[in-house]
Amino acid sequence: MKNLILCTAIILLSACTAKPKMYYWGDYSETLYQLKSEPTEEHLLEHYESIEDVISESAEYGIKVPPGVYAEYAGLLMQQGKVADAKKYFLLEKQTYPESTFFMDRMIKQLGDE
Amino acid sequence: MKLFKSLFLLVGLTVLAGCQSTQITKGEAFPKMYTEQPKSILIVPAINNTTAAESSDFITTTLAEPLTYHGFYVAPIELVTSIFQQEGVLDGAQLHSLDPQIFGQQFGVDAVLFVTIDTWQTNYYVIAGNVEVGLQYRLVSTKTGQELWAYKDHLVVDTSSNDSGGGLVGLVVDLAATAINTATTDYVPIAKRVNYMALSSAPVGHYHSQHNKDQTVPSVNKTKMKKKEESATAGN
Repeated sequence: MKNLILCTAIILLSACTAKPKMYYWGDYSETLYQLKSEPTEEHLLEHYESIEDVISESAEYGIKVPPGVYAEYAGLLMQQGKVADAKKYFLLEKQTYPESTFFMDRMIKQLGDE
Repeated sequence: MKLFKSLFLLVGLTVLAGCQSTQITKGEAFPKMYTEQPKSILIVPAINNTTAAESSDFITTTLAEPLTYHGFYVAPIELVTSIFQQEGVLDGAQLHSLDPQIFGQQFGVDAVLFVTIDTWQTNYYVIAGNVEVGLQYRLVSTKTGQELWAYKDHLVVDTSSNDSGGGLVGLVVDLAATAINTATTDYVPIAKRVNYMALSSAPVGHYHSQHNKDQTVPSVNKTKMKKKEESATAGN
């Protein structure tokens, strides 16, 4: 009830949504498919944006970024030659999901070799 | 063994009631999932046995989300794909035939998910339309090479337009709308839904609240199609 009143109050300013139970994925699947089926600059930008949206919304909700998202972001940055940023996000993936350590160490090593 | 037991039970029940396919529990269907407890999964590009080239992308780009909600860590597909491409491996079939242990060695994952698309058929029937989907999933251990979970299904998803008025004008609007709908139908949500359905038969992973507590939850019987046929012949 309290939440509903609060939501109504700020509805003009922002879309009021409930905290996701586990993860927030946003438009990720849509933009990824779009990018794969038609790899244009515009679609790449849209996919970047949907990943950035996943990351920022997750932070806002105080939930973990879903598995693989930081790493995929790092992969995109890597393709663009942004090595330092890519490394940062590979490390974030490793930090958030220790089971990705082997893979992330491999990617970071690959960054260093470039 | 399991098949015999279930078949026996089925024949017995057929006498008493209109018998639906018997469901077995997740623990009975996929015991290796519980003994091995795979935490991380790698998705390999799908094998596409259809003429719809785009269907493999529909499926693989919508698999990560359901898998993560099901409690698993999923290796970033796009990174994995680009590594495969660097190695000159583009074909899903090539990857499906590799020793699963190689994926463990290369990517540090516990299991590999192989998907085969047998049917992806969009049908257009005047004022109705649908897409017929046939898929197979196999989750294989990178430690033992054994199958941990498998699912196979064939279903039809309606893509018709339903929102016009009646009468002749309504019919024309319906025709056009259905044609447009079926042609430009966003298959991403459909593919995602199919993946969710398939996964619901599987034991949940590490991050799920029900992890290691769902052994008695009914799993969709993966051989239900076969059993229906058997009960039809057995009951007659």
